[in-house]
Amino acid sequence: MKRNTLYFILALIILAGCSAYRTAKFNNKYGPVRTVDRTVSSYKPGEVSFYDDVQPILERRCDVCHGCYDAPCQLKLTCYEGLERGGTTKLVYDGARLRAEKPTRLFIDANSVEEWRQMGFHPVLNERDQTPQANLADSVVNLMLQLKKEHPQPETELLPVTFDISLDKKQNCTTAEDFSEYKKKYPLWGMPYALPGLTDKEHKTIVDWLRQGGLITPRPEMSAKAKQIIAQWEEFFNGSSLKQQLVSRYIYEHLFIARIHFDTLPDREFYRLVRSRTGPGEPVVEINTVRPYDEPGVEKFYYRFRKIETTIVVKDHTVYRMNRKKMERYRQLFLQDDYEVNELPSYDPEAASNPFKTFVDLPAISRYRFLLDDAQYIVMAFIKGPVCRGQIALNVINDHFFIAFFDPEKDTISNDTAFIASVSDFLDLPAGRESNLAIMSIWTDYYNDQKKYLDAKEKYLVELNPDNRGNDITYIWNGDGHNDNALLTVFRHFDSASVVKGLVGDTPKTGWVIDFPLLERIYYLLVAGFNVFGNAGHQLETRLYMDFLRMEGENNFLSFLPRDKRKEIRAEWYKGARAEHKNQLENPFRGLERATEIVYTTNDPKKEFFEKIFEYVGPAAGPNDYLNRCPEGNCVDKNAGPLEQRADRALQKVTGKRGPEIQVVQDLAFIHVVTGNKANDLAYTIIRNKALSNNSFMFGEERRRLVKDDTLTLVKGYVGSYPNSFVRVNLDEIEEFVESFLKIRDQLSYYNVARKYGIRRTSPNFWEEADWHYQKYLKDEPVEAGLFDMYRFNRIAEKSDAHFKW
Amino acid sequence: MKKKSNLLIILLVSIALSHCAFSGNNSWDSQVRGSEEMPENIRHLVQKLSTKSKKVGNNTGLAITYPFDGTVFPPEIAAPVIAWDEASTASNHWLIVVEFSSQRSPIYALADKQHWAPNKPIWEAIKANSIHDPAKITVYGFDHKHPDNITAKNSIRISTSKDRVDASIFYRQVQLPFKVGKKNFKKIKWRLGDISSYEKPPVVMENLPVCASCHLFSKDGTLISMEMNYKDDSGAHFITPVRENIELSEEDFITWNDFPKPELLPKTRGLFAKISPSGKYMVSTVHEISYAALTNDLAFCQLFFPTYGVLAWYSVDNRKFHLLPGADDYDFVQTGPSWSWDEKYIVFARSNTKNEYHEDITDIRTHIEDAGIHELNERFPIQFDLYRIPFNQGKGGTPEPLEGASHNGMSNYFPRYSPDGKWIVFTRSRTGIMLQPDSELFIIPAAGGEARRMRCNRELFNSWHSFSPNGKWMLFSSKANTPFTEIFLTHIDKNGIDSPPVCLSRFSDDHYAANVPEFVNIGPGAIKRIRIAGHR
Repeated sequence: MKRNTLYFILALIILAGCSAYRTAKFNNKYGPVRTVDRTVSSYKPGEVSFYDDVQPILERRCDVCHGCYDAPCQLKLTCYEGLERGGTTKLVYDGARLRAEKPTRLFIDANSVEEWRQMGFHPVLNERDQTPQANLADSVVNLMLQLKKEHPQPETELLPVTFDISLDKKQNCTTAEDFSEYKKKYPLWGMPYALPGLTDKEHKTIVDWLRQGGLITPRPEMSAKAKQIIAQWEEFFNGSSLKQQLVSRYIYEHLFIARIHFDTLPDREFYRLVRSRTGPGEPVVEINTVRPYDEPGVEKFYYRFRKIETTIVVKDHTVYRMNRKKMERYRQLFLQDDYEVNELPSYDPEAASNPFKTFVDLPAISRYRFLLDDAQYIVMAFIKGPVCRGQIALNVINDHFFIAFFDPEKDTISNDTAFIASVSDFLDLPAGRESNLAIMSIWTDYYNDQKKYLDAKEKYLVELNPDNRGNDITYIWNGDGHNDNALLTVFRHFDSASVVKGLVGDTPKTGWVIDFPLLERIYYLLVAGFNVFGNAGHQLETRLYMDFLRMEGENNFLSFLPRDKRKEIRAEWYKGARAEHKNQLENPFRGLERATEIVYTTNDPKKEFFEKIFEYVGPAAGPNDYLNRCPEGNCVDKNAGPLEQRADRALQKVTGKRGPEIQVVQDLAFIHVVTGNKANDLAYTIIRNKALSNNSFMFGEERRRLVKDDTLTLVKGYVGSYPNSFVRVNLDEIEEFVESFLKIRDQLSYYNVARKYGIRRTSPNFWEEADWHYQKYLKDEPVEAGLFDMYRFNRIAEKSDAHFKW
Repeated sequence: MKKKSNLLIILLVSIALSHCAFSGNNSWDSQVRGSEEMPENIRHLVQKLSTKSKKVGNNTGLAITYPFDGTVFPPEIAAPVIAWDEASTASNHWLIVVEFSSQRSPIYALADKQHWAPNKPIWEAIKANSIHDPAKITVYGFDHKHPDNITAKNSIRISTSKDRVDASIFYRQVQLPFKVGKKNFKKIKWRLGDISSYEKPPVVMENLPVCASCHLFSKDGTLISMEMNYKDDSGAHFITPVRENIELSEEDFITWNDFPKPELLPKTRGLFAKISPSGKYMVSTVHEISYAALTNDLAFCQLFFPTYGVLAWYSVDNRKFHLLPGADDYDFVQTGPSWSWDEKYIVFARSNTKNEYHEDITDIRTHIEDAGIHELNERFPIQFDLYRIPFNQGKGGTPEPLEGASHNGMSNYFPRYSPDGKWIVFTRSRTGIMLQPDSELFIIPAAGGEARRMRCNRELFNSWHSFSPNGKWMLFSSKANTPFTEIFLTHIDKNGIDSPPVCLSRFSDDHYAANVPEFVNIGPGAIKRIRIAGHR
């Protein structure tokens, strides 16, 4: 055995020995670890209540990082159950794992603390003798808060570099027993990490609650009104006819990640549609399959609604609204007598992963319309849905692009059930093979299938259009004149993304026009069929297959542009020799021979197309984006008050800044315009759109950056879940701020602006600003709003020798 | 090849240096002693002149390399070395004839080398007789083999000003190439020079454990200020009364690092700090970030310029620092300030920031470059414009570009007011702010106007100029003769017209560059020694 190996083993033995020694010491001092039932029917007078006192603090100060799958150490503090579950060193996001991980979805994959312990989670609340002393000494939560108290956030301008706030920060998931080591190594790393600490009052409240044993009272019962609504919906979903069962399955597979909101219930009440072993009227026993189309494992199951008991964080908040009209719509779309269902499809993964086979009996136009009705939700599900942040998969898209849809009535590819059924074999998705490492199959199987599908589609269209007429503007879905999902804009912010209604921002590099087979496949690829706990092969296959789908959407868009300009325009999207070569191989000009019927009058058909569809869609397209598309640079909302108009006028100038000078600008900046009257204060978001020479490759994104084409988009209100910076500016200084902003051209000029107007991780008013933005978001969008995540809140600058004190 | 070229450079340098440094040979002042006492060898040649000289025109391959034609000397200056260069090897001895427009008899001298240093009486005679009209200096070449022929001949004219310099010169000597390091700091010397002395100027400060750099005196010469990294503080700067033995202690120092700085910025050095003429204020670049590259090139061994910075002023009385409004715009780099003598104005150099030249703005390093100055200039260009603001007791004002020294496609820097307040002399080059081969001195009216290239400029590198307290003279540095920078002196008349310069050859050294020369309104010997208390 080599000497180094020997040393390594010895070190491990010593470390393990130390840990065992510390555990033994805790055992002696505080008793052994055992199951603790913390439930009490009510609190004694003077006791701290979790729901009334503690949870609001956790929500505002802890959940801004400890929520969703990317919560550090999987410690979800968004609900009591997450606190009780504790943390683990296992990662949810791991693009390199060879084997799929067992899912660890809170409320789903384990039903008790014991089960979580068996799955490797360690406690953060005391599970030893329930004495006040042990309740604090054995609680990681208390120890972390205490550490912050002893070593508060440095009072310096720059956050010391010893704080690692990078996305790939090593996890330090300490236990109470090993905390002394953590404290020694990272004295500044108390919680909240790299942010100002709690106030004395907040600190005391949580510590008091921990000292009293972390007691919890039962949650209040569901309201009668909620019960009534849910009963109606459960009745609908659990209808016994084959048609109803198939329709329910279809809807469930599309809503399983939705935050369902019933219009007549309180704004912040949300439900999940789940498959349950128990029927209506009984407590829900959720079937914990990885995917919504997995074999449920029971002969009979029920679609049930399960109330969401966690704090709502915006990064996984995908709202789907339900109301009486929606049920009518479902009936209208799916439950008419114009078709029959004689047999239910299986849950065999090969077939179930292909919705065109599973739901072949449902009319294509109904399925498509179902998706279009809530297109923003569907697209948002791609982005936030199962993952709350993307990994390598997100670099498959550009930072900013528009989406339009084919009209369901006009586009035969979208409404011809028989045609879709005939090509369904070609539309198989990689998830059908579960997690494996056969990445080559993407090219050997799926690419060939995609090619066959596109050939079949082309042949079919040629047969339908013997005169070889191409698409005209009426092939674009106009939202039926009222649905504001007709046009969408996607923004990618490195490893997260947002989708908003309307055409927001200046003319982007690309656009997608999506038909039913494409929309459905993207959904099943990225949402229904995606397993965040899957292995590297699964994740890579998903990414690679998404390349084909993106190109299909882009080519659809090209089909509306002048035929003689298509090559030139597409070449702009795939710059670089390797990208061009790959594009030629994978993305031939299928279906792009027909000329469009749209008449173009300018030399910028891309821009003209977006203008035309904006005009064609009419009211459903929403108002014109005067902040980003204002040729005179002085556009205002005439309905806005004078304060807002002043802020609009000033801020819209920032969108003129682009290229290398905005490299130092953060991806997402939230601006708080202080008007002097709190109620009138305004919020804006500045989004940095980073250009790439192409999206053809998974890696080396930095090498493909085209900084000269970077742009900024200004949005009123909020876009994005992970702000990178906050700006606070008095309305009286707004012009001065913009003037300074426009002068930014390097790290130093950015720093100068940021130190004057920015809120820093070390700013004493950091939490005040964070709270303001959250409250403003709640006020503006009471249903869609959620807590912003602060994990990606960046330093205004970083300096290795910045001194600090506390 | 490289070795050979180095040898060649050394040879050339030696030859060039000899022009400034060699002493005289046989000479004969016919006014003082009668012709019957004239040495035979001189007489023989003088006689030939009467018959042959008219047949020989000038430009016969002989060039008088020093003094320059038209040079004006201060009345108190010590004798220079008159040097010539004969392209052919025809001559092997030379006769030097100094003639005067008055009735005064000529002075003759014989040399067997291509230079002649008049002795003190001769030089004094030349000066005394070239005040109203120039003296003509002619050098004739002779060959022993053909004793009847004059093989070469050339003439120049020099004159002596009535205007005395009446000041000493404080300057620094550094080894080249300049490398950062304590070892090098210790070798740096400061000398206080007297132009009338025939001796090398005495060293008043040396063997420092830390780096020290730019220095300046108050107008009356009672205060000296200098950048010195006291106790390893790169922002430290001392201001202390001038006295024979200056022992620097804690209370003599201020530090520009006391000026509050944003955390991201490196420590402030107090770059190009200048004490005001009255000694009441200082002004300096603060919050500065600089680009610095060191090369092995002997003459142009560094490229240095600030890429970021604003100006701040310091009140000597109440020891407080303030930003200087009008020169505090962080979108620009503002540096190299200079006071008008009445302290009403500050002129400074301004450029767009160039922080893109730093790989990591938070970790500024001195680059060691294997490239020449021209290549570095191509890679890192920067052009400064001169701006003027009122000082206004520290309130500053709106910066105005100075016509003739701004937006002219060149880099304009190091402005200095003439003491009468009428002129500004500044350095101009294609790029950069320091140590540029093509740098030349230009003069403009103090409020801006047409720029005039000064006659005193030499062929290579002209900068670091300083006016004598009486405003009649200006000294500057040049590398025209040698990579080891020398100090030159030019006379400036009331119309701002300057003369071909005098080379202060006794201030030069074969192994040290003489730089940052400053006139100081004190007599020789007013400072004998400057040292840090507790240090040898």
